[in-house]
Amino acid sequence: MKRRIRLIILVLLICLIAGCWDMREVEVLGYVMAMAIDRDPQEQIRIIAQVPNPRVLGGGERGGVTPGASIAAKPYRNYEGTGPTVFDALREISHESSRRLFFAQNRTLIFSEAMAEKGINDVLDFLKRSVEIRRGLTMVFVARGEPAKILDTPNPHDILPALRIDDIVRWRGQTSRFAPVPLSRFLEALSMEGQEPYAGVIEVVSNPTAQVKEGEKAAPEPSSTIRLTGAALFRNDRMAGFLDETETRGLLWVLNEVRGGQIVFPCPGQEGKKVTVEIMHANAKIEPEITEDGIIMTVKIREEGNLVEVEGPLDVSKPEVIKELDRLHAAAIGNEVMAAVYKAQELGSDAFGFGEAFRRKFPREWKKIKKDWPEIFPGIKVRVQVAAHIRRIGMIGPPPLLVH
Amino acid sequence: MTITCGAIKKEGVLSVRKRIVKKLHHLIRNYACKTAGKNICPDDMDWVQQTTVEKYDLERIPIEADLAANIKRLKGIYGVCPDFIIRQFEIGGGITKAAVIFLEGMVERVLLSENLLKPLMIHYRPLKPVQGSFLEQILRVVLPVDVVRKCVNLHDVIDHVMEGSVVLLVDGEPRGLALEAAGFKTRAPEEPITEAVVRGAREGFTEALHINITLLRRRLKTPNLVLERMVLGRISHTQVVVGYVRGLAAPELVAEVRERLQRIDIDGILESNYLEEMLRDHPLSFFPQAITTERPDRVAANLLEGRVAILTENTPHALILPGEFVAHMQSPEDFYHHFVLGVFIRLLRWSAFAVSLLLPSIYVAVTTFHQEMIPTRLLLSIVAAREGVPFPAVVEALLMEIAFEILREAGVRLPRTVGQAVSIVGALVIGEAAVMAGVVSPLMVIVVALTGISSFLSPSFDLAISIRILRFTMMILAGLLGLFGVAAGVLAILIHLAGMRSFGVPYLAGLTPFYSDDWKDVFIRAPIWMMRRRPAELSKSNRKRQAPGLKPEPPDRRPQGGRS
Repeated sequence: MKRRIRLIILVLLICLIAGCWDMREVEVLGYVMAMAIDRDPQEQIRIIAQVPNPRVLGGGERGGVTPGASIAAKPYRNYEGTGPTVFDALREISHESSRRLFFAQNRTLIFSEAMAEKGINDVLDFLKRSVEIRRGLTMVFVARGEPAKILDTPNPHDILPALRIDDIVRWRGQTSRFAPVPLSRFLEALSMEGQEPYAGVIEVVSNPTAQVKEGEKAAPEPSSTIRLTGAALFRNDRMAGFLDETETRGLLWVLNEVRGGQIVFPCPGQEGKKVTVEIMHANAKIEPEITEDGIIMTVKIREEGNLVEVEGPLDVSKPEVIKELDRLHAAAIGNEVMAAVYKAQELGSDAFGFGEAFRRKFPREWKKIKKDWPEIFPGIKVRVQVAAHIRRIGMIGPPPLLVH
Repeated sequence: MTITCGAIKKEGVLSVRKRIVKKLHHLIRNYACKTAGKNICPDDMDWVQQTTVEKYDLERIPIEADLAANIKRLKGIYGVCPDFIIRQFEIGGGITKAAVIFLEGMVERVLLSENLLKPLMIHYRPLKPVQGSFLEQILRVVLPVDVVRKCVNLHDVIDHVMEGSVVLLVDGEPRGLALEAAGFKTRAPEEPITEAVVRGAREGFTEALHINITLLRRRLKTPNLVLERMVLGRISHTQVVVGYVRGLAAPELVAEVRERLQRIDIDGILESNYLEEMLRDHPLSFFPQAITTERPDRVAANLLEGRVAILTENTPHALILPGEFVAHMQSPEDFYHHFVLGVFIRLLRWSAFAVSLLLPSIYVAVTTFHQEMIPTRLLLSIVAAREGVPFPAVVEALLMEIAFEILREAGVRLPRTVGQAVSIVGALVIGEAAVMAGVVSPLMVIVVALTGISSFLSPSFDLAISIRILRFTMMILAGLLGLFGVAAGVLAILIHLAGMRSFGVPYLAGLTPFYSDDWKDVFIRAPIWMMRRRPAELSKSNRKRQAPGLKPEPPDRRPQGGRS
């Protein structure tokens, strides 16, 4: 019995040996919510890390030991660190920050345009290696313009610019016209031979609603605002160019990443009138073929949508009208895809994964051509087959003009 | 100095020697009595100087025909106790001398005077000489008392007097009659405070054993409800009743309970926990191994499952054996409402069990070790709440939990009126002032409050106690090792539980030796018409509880062959 008690005490003491190993209280950490990576003119790596100030975020309803709570402080602080490597630059920040930086909550990673054009491979190594960075959660963006400004564009609705970017990404299915991509997928595409990575694009635009009318004392809205737009295509680790918003959706159709959005196309038989369809489901498949003319990629897209807006008087209760609309909006989808393909071929970046699809179907042939794929890709033929269907026409039947 | 010391020593030695001599003397005398035969007895034993009056001494003193001698002995034994009363009188105006012996306050006075003294003293008419002794005759003809027992020696007399009987001794008769007239004050059965129900019986056990037995009998009206009486406690002579349903409770289980009870040799049993601690299979375990309840319906329900109940005199708390883990999560009220509510409450209860054991430790582990696990916005509010709190989360949690335990304990002990004031002050101090002062974070208050309230969901107070204690261990583990520590702690608890047995039943019975039938009554409570079998580990030989096909259905859909 005595021996057993001694043993139990010993086992319990083992717990104490670790002595709160790795323990850190929540409030001693600085949670990096967004990170921007850039190179300064001396070719040093410059990092901007956005860290929230919970003292301000907490609302300050507690009295007592919160000095400075009355000062209308910013809810965040953008720390800047410069150094020869990413890690060095990050540690540089610790000279200024009272809190140890913590990266596991980071969801936004922004590269400056200049840096992306020169290649980001050196920087990516740290992001791949780090245990704290969550590659599945972090969205990759290329900044059009100064990244520091993007992370310092507040909005009265959102507590932090970083959280705002995260929330905009959450609703990307509203248009599917910008293409944020998780770091894990970005790295995956980078490592594949038949696919090139892409990233989202983020920019600061001026806010037209910000003009303060004369005589009004209301606080003006911020003069500029963050906007997520389009996509950046990469060739290996270097950015090749941008896709505009329509082309971006063309890319996302092929990548099976369209989660919703709107398609606008001309109304049949009505000059200048438009019909709008909301995308509900979409599905795409790439089918490579080898023919005498060379490689042909067939992109098969199935789409289902709801009719949301018809400008002209059109009797949508008739099946043949719907069929016509199906045809037209399929054509509109096809055009988007083709626009993206042309642009990508022009930039020489196979972000669609056509090479990868080819490798899966013709692994032997792929071995022969994979070295030359960057040269072959701009020349391949791409066919798009779209099967689009309108499933619901909304709450009204034929327009009243037709009934009379 | 030295001289006095020596004197004291000498005196000490002397007294020890005196004691030894006395003891030896006692032993020799007893030995002489035993060998010399029954009739020679330590008659003139000086009871006052005797250390204790032992049963074996008394059993050897027969009741003698000489009433005066008996009375002298009894007076010698009881000394000057003010409640010990010997009333001497004459039967039928001088026929014979007699005496009634009783304890004041233990007997019903009206019964004594009306049914005993009156017929003997006033209404007595001389009897025709029939066969049998005089005592048997007056028992047959004169005394209108229902329960009468015979006494042959002083032990019988004293035993019956102690339990509230009136003993009648008649001059010339070497025997006495114990007439049951117990009439002490008892509490009426009322709703148990700790086990209140919304729907169901509002009766609870009381301190009086006979009332408790009646409450149980009224629920199980069968001769198969067997009640075995035992008297335990050398001094307290506490009556203990073992109850079970013949044919449901496994005979081995009953035998085991009986055997373990008989092993108990203790001076007094004041509450059923005295028994529980003696009966446990794992005396050092935190976890309760018997169900304790004040509700007769809960006892009845458990007897129907094949368990054994132990009722103890002077406490309303009955013990039910075996008390495995799952049984502690079941409340009789689960069966008194619609089964959907039963299911909901069961699920709630299990999750509250997990919350009350783990919530503070998981909070501590996650906030101090695994910040990446917390959703961003929640994390930001946690950080904002903890801003300026001077303690680490573990210390904060321990402080708050200890404060909560202090308040809870104070609330139980204090008189009702003061208790309310204390709980209000406590709630204010903990909830409001501590947060305002920035000593604890408001989130911790929520965590502690939720934990505390969750622990009240347990239908078994005993299980809640073990969880309360283990919670602190888990918090320390969480503070030291994070979620790894929590997982290790949970694992250790599970291993402990899985290794336990309660009266031959695996402690996790219902969960881990898998019987699909038993799962109807673990995390959910199936409709009563589905509960066709008794728990597999309990009543192995007699498992059928009800006829098949009892689910109410319209007549046309009723299966053929069923009862119409």
